Amino acid sequence: MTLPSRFRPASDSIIDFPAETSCFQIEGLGLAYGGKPALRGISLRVPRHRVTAFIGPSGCGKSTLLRALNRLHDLNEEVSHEGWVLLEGQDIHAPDVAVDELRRRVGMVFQVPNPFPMSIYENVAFGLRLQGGLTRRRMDDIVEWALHAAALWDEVKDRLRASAWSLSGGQQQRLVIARSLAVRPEVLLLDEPASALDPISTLKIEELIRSLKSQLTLILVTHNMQQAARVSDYTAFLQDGELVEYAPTDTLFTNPSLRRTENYITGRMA
Amino acid sequence: MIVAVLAIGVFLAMEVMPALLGGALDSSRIRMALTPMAWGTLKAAFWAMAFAIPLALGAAVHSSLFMSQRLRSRIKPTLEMMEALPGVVIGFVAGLVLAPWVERHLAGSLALLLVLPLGILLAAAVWRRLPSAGRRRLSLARAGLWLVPWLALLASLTLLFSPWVESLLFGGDLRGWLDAELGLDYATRNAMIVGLAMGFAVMPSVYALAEDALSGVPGRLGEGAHALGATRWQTLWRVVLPAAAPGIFAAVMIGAGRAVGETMIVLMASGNTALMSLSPFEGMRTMAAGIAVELPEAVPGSEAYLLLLLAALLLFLFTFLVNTLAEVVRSRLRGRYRWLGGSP
Amino acid sequence: MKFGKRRLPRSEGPWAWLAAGSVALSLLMLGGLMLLIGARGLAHFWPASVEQIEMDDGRVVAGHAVRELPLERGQGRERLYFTGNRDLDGQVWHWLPVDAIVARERPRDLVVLERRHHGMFIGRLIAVGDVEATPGQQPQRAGWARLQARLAALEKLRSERERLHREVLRPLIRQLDADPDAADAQRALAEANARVHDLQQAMRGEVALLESADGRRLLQPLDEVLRAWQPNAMPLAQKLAAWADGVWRFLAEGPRDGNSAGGVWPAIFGTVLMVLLMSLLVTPFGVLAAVYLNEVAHQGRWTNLVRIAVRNLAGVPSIVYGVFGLGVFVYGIGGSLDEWFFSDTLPSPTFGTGGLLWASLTLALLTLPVVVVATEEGLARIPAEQREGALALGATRFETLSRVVLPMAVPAMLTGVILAVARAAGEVAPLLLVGVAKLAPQVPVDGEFPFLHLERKFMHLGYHIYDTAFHGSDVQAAMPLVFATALLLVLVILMLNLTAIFLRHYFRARHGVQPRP
Repeated sequence: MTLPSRFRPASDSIIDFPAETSCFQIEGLGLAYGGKPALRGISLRVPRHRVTAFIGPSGCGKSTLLRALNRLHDLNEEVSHEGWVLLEGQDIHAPDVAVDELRRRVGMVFQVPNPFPMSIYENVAFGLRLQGGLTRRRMDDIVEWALHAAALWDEVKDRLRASAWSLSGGQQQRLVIARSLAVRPEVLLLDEPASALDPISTLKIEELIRSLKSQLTLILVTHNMQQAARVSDYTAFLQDGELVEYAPTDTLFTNPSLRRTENYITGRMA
Repeated sequence: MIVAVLAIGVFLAMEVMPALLGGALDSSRIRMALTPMAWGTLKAAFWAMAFAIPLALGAAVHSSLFMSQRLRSRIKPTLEMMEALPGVVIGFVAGLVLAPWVERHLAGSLALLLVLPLGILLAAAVWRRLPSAGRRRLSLARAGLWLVPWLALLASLTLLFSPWVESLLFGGDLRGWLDAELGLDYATRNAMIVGLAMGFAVMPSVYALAEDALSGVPGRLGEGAHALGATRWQTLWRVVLPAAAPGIFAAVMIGAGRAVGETMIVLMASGNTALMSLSPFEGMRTMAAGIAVELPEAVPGSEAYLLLLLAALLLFLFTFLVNTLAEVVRSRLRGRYRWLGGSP
Repeated sequence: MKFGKRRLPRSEGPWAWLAAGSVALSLLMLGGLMLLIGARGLAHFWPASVEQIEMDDGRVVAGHAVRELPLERGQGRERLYFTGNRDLDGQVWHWLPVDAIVARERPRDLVVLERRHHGMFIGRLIAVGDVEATPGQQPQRAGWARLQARLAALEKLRSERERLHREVLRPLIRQLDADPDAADAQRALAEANARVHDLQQAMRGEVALLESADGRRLLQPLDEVLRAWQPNAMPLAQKLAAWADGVWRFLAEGPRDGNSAGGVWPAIFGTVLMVLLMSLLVTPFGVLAAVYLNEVAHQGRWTNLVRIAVRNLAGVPSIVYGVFGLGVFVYGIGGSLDEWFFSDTLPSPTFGTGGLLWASLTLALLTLPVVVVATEEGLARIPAEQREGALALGATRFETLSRVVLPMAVPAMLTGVILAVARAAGEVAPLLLVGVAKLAPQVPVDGEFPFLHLERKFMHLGYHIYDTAFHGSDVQAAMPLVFATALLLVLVILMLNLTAIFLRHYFRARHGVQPRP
């Protein structure tokens, strides 16, 4: 798909990846809640097998942007959008795209852990059962693999049939990650995955994120700049629904090219 | 202070128990007098629930999961307003308008039971063939509204063509056919009418409680399922419904309690014949209606009086038990949501 | 990886549509019911056009078409006409085969009279005049004008007689009941009786000569005629006026003809009075109970138990409350009261039978949970900071309660009371046991000490519907009236509920607070 030239990055402060190495290509994305704009003219490319962080003050639209990537806004009728979001070169808003399939390819983890009211095993198997057509043994294997990948297996292997609600908060969040991994997504969206957790659980989640990037692309929304600095390879700074600066994490945090970014990361922002 | 109110149960027990224990009431008499009424009560409640539960739960599911917030905030009070319609009015319309009308248009009315669900499915099938602009305008979220004229149209078409179908299939006289082929006697005021009217009366409370239970399920659960690629219906069936199941159970129980105790509708729409039959086309007499009709004439202290008080006690105990069960389940459920809602 | 191409997006499946359909079906039924009651209830007062029908066998009938049905075991259809004239025909309905109708027209000179006895008359007015002089043919228009003038005059005389009855005769009779030898009163009574007699004489004077559509004649005393109209000759504005007049009479007059005609004023009065008494009883108890439960009592197992019990009581069938009311209030307390204070009138009971007081008490019990639950909800919505703020300023617990908490909870209490009133107004089953009457000649309020008669039976809108629809002599003829009554009841209850919803909404919007966990 070729795009109009006006979607080329406008300023030097926004890095550009070749289309071949980028997983998500966002071009001129705007989004409004019932007429009130929440995002304006966002254009950025998310590199494959890297961790990309969206940071910015609360209400800047970073979570909104994240939710636009797997069309979770479809559930709300008042949301309207413009522009393009391409996943591996394909427009995710095209009429022939099946939303459920998109969401299977783009997994998501939310701020507060939301395990379903069923057993640990059933939670992980949930997405697989939606697809169907798996043998019992194959399902067991995938569940075990996903729990391993989410670094939870050792803690729960003896009580897979226990209720997921009996786990601690940090374990629940890793369970939710395992649940997303089980359907083998290409991208995992993380919406402030550690903000409701204690420091030790947060550390585990961060380790997990770093270990997962060999397998898939991760996009992380966080209000914690240290966290972004610790785990991400690239960071995008958003403010008031606009993309301000997008750079390799080291560059953005040590040598931001714009005054607005610098003000924010040094805490001088009102 | 409030405990004084519990005196109701105490009073009924005090009046009836001495007679029961002292042998003033013979157990075979009790059986003879109460069995038909108990049967009628259960039958009426069964038909009412058969009608109300699918309708109420369907509506609750739709308004809690599919409707937009704004539409929901209009529709929900409207449906809850149905609850305020007095039983006398519903009973009057059911007994004096609906019952004779259904008797005259029996084939058409029975056909409606089949045509309306099929019509909805037909609408769904047509909807999928629409261009996307039309699909957006007539979205599923607003289907509760735009299906109304469609169903009204279908209903009137059904009634228009039913005499023709009736004469084709049943020789123009469905009642005679029912009588001859299935041995079903059709009474004007029958269990079907009572079920319809009482279902209509019970439906709003079941709906309101079930809707509360469903929309009380934390939204994050649903989002989690969506993010895994579940459709809204899969989300409902696999995540939301199991989580809300106790609340829905409570809603159904409370509805059943209502149906068992409703008096005026049964009194006006059932014919009050103490029959014991399974047929939906025959009448019955329920405990509540029996009390309402006979108690004013019963001499205090007489056997008939005591029997009626016993019936009232049974009603009281039954509804009290059912409601307590429902209330306990509901408060457990609230605790569970609160636990889920807060940060762990 | 490529997206699987699908020609059509995946749909939510048939169940989602059936769920949507159940919303639509519920709305359809609700709408249908309201439309039915509304249309039939309001149409009753409309001075509908009258048709004159000529049959192929030469019969001529005048009336309103009511409905049409296929003939039993035969070809063609037949139509039901309301033709009135019970005194001439012995019935008010005519089934006419549609095929046999030769001509249908709407002659402008057809009149409809509403009469005290025998119901409606539909036909022609020939003349109006004195009883003695047999009236001859008069010009049509003059006859009609004279009829109108006489009816207006009669209306005045009638209200004068009513006034005399109410203000002069009844107090005198009561006075004489108490003291049979009071000479003044006897003289005054005789005088008043004479005046009433004169009035009645003045009213009796004239008759109208009427003719039915098929030519049978009839002398109709004018004092029996309540209203007259010429529906086919009325312009729209006049019809509207007649309609409004009909609605007004329905609301303001008492029932006639065994409740199958006339108005529902005593029933409105009885309902309102009972509901008022009930709210007076239930409000303090309900509010106190809720305040105690929520603010005073130690929150724990016990209060939770009581709370569940109260919610449960809301689910107990109303007929059980009726049984309780009958057993405890009527037979228990009422019986004892009779033995202590009214033993001279026994065995005919005073308080030992259903009456206004017992009905109100029973309904107060019935609606207590509604008030308690609503008030509690309101109290629970008041954030703890408000209480703590007041306490921090040195207010005592009682001051906090009375100055901060209760004023904030007033709309919730009001909501509760309004919902209770709405519930009570529609509840009929317990009243069957504790105190309604089919026809109560005396309203429970009058000029005699103690003015409010708690022991009397009263009329009730809901019971009026039940009674008229099921125990009337000609249910078919009373149907429009029942519809009108049902419409009135539904409107009142819906209005009350809407007020409650509005109040609750307003309250929530004003204190945008979350319920206390």
